[in-house]
Amino acid sequence: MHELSIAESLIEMIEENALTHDFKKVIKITLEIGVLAGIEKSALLFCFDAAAKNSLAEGAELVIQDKLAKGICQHCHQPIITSSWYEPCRFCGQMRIKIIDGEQMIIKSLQVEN
Amino acid sequence: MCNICGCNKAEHAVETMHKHADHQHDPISEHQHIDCEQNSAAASVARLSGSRMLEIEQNLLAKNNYYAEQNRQKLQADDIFALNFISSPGSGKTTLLTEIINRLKKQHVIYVVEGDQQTAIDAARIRETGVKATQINTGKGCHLDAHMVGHAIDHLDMQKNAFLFIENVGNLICPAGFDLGEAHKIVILSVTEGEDKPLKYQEIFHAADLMIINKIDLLPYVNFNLKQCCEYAKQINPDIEIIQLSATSGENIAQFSNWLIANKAELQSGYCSNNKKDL
Ligand SMILES: Nc1nc2c(ncn2[C@@H]2O[C@H](COP(=O)(O)OP(=O)(O)OP(=O)(O)O)[C@@H](O)[C@H]2O)c(=O)[nH]1
Ligand SMILES: [Mg+2]
Ligand SMILES: [Zn+2]
Ligand SMILES: [Zn+2]
Repeated sequence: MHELSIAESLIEMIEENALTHDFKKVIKITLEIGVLAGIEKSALLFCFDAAAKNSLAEGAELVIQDKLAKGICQHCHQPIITSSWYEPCRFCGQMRIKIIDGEQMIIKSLQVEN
Repeated sequence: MCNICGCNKAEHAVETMHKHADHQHDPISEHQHIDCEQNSAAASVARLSGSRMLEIEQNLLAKNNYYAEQNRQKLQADDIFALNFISSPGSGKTTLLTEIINRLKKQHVIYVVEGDQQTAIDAARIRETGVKATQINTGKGCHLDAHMVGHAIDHLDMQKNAFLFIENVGNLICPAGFDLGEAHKIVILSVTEGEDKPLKYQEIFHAADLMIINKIDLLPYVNFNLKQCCEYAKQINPDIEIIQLSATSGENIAQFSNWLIANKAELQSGYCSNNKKDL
């Protein structure tokens, strides 16, 4: 359940942002999470509610945007969209795909109130 | 005082880790954000309702990655070769570590950080070999993070040119994404767990540089397709190296100690040539 520690660092980072951006309450949080980031969406939503209790994000809406992974086939050099580490290349059938995007966990935006 | 975060807890990293409710450290630049309050249409709509939109684009792992980089720099500066051992509970991490330590300790300086949710049993097992070990208890935490390990490193007060073995909390899933500042992640899979694990828990097999298949002394008694397991691991990570051994019978352990010595030397020669380039 590392989703719990991810949820806790989300709250910590929101609290730091509250100091730099001077807000008192968060209405909505938008995250972008790559399909290869190793995050279970439902677990993160569940942990977020627990982590947000008594914080300025309590009751906030958490929106998680999935991001498909991108890779380059190391054999035929075609760009590939994938959702796992071991799909064969759709063009040449080889397994060697270098992932270039899809492991990220990013806070995109916060909708806040003073 | 701790060098990582300046916190004043004298007792931390000593068998139990402190929680940080009492102090804050914010190493991450606060200036990565792009504040789009002025321009975006969404923001103006939001402002009508009394709220505003902040586009911040911050990496949720930034803090851990920052501490990991601090650890890595410190370890490199002291010529310490650090390895992060990850496996499910009971695959034989501590058994393998004690075996390998007994083989290497005459010629090499070795330190160990033990991660478990509870108890200091594993650190005590390591100390029986005579090397210095510190236990981190994560409580409910399911993985070590770079900040805890930074404190443990401080606590160990290591001399230069050594091995640092970090035994992560027994868990094949959660530790995968948390860089600790190690040179390599090593995943251990024992033959009683089934050959399909690389496909079921892809992240860690993708992140590791070496897979150890442990408990091969049990192969005659279990249905474990060794060849299939290696193929699955190579599908997830074509560059992964594989060593099959038995920590209890000692079979092939020499292959692993050779791997350790060779990779330490390789990393250190890499630092040397980098340093020369800088000069
Ligand atoms: N037959 C056999 N048993 C082994 C081998 N390696 C470890 N074991 C046994 O497996 C059990 C668990 O070993 P540990 O070394 O405690 O495993 P661990 O991965 O450190 O466990 P946690 O720290 O609790 O996650 C012990 O009973 C060991 O004796 C092996 O190569 N062969
Ligand atoms: Mg152990
Ligand atoms: Zn291809
Ligand atoms: Zn601290």
